[in-house]
Amino acid sequence: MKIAQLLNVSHSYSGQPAIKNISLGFEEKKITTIIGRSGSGKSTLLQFINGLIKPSAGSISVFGKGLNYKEISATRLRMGYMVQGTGLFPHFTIAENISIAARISSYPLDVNQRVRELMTLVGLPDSFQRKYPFELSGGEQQRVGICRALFLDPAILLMDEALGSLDPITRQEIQSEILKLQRLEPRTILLVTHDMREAKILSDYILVIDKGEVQQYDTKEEVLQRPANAVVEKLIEASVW
Amino acid sequence: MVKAFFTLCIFLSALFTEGQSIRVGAKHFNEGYILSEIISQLLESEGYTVERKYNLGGTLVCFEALKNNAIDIYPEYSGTLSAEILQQPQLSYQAINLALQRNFQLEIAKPYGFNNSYALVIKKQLSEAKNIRAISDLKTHTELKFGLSYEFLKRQDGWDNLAKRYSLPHQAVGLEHGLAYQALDQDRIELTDAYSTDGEIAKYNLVVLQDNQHFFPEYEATSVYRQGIDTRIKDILSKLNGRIDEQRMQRMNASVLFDKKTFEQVATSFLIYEGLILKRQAERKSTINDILQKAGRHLLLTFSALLLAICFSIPLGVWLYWHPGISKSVLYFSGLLQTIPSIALLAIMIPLFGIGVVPAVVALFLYAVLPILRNTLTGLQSVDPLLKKVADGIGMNRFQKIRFVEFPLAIPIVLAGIRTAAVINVGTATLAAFIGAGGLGEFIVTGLALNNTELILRGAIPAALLAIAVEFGFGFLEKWWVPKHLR
Ligand SMILES: Nc1ncnc2c1ncn2[C@@H]1O[C@H](COP(=O)(O)OP(=O)(O)OP(=O)(O)O)[C@@H](O)[C@H]1O
Ligand SMILES: [Mg+2]
Repeated sequence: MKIAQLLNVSHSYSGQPAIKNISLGFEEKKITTIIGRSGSGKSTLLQFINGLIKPSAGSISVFGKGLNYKEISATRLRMGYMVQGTGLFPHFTIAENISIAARISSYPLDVNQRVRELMTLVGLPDSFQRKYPFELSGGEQQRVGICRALFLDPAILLMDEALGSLDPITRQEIQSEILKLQRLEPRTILLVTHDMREAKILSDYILVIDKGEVQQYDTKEEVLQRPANAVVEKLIEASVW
Repeated sequence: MVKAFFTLCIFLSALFTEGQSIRVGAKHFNEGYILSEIISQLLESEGYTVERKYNLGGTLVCFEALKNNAIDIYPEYSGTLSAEILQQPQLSYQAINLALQRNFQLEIAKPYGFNNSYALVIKKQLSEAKNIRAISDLKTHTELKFGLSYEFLKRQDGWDNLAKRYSLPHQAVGLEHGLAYQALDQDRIELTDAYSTDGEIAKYNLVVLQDNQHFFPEYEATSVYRQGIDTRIKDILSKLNGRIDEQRMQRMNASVLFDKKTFEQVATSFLIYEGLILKRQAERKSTINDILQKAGRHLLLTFSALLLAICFSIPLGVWLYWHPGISKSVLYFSGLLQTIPSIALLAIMIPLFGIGVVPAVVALFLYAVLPILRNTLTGLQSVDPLLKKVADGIGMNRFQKIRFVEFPLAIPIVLAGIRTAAVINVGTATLAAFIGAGGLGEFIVTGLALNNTELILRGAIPAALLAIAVEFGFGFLEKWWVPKHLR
């Protein structure tokens, strides 16, 4: 049983095809990295899962049921989403940004404690709570974004180039935090990146797409050792040096 | 015992009349004010409480107000009633009264005693130099510049038909009656319409052209009221029958316009002179209090309309944001409302809401809708699409999205719209005086009618200060409310 499944999914933006007839399923409680060149359709694919984009053709099912676009809110609350770019609300403080989900659904636990817990996890000092996003660096903002996506402890975490603007050291720190977290309480993570090194470190599975088509979808080891075609090879080569 | 009963009766009747408030209307020109003030003071001396609804914008506003029971009495001219209201020029006084009773359940008292007919006036020098004595003499003097009041240009018994009757080929320009004499005096125009009782005729050394073809109907001044009004009031009003002749009226007009007496003082002197009252009853308000009171009313009009507009436009703006298909047509429609001249919009309000605060607030409300609506819509539309996507992704429904993300981020733009609406309203509210809603416009309208600059400034300066204060107030509100990084 896959936790999220695409069946014959295609999508075009005003006539331009972006995703071409993809059928695949994502493994529960595993980290799957979606990798490909810029414009290959990674963000589009990710947003099928939480219904932000409704495909032109084909069907999506998540948690064992077809997506009901009319009542999508409840489903989305069970998925954390980190948009490409930081996307923090400029009028909310860091603490308010992180705990925004508590305002739109009933959150039974102590909100402040959860905020502190998450901030510690990603290495943000408590003193940031009352700051506004514009007072933080890009990397700090991305870490806040991770906290916000994790707030409700979602079963699925969708991360669109979440570690993009972090320096190598912080990036490594966050990567090992994610791995640690995954060992403690595994969840399904779909992680978009164009960096094969990141895929090597984090993935259980790797999905390579190019021009809206799947090039290879397999375990990390399989993809790295037996690249299916030249496109995949090129991606791996590009990350070596 | 009998004495006690008698006292009680007097007390009760006093109480009864005390509680009754009589609303007296006035047209916004000098003579209108004086006559209405005479009526008001006379009624007050008999124990009535009088509500003064002066500055009503012209014949139709007054008449509509009377018909719709928004005022009880106002002074009017027989010729005006005949031509403007009954649409049958040159009816006899008797016939006018009968027609009013039959068609409107209204009635007129006996004439006050003067005929304030329309007249055409020119400078005496010009009359002598070119030998123009009668209206028919104008035909051969096509070079003369005619400046006529807007009302005269529109009337049945006004310019169009007069020109036809006398075959006059002249083109006439319109101007405010209160400014016509000055224009005449400074030779910017050479002829204007006037009332035969105008105080200026003597002052500016003018002559009235003879109406040798008897075009103008008679304009006997008298009180108009509803048939069903208390007979005691009719009796009181009848005391004015035949009391005021043309010279009297000219003098009264002149003492307001040139001796700088207030029309209240002139009315009082007249009533005392005629032995109708002993002295003025009501206290006089100090100027400062008067200004403060009118400014207060002004703000009340402005801000109640603004508040209504906010409560209406913001939800509507949100709704339109959700239904972009119709937002264009709604914006277009409310833009259309904006283009209706204020005076016309106020006039449209009278049949619907009568006169006073309500129609004024409704009209101001309509003007305030567009800026707030438009800015709400643009504000919501211009929120960063990425943030909208994040809000969706988190799982917000559209109400939560508006509440937590889109509206808070649109506030600076919405606030700017409210500020525009407020400034428009402060300005437009000065016109509310025309439909008896009060406010600083009272000074301005009266001042314009009396050509009294001091009075105009008494309204215009506080109104300008209010507009500035509103502008600053909102600036301050924005500073205080909207954090710097969102501005
Ligand atoms: N809203 C849109 N309207 C029109 N075309 C779009 C839109 N979003 C994406 N596209 C197009 O669809 C294709 C796939 O876009 P997508 O954002 O999925 O790429 P991506 O793999 O995430 O790229 P990147 O690594 O640069 O983020 C691109 O060619 C892009 O130009
Ligand atoms: Mg992308």
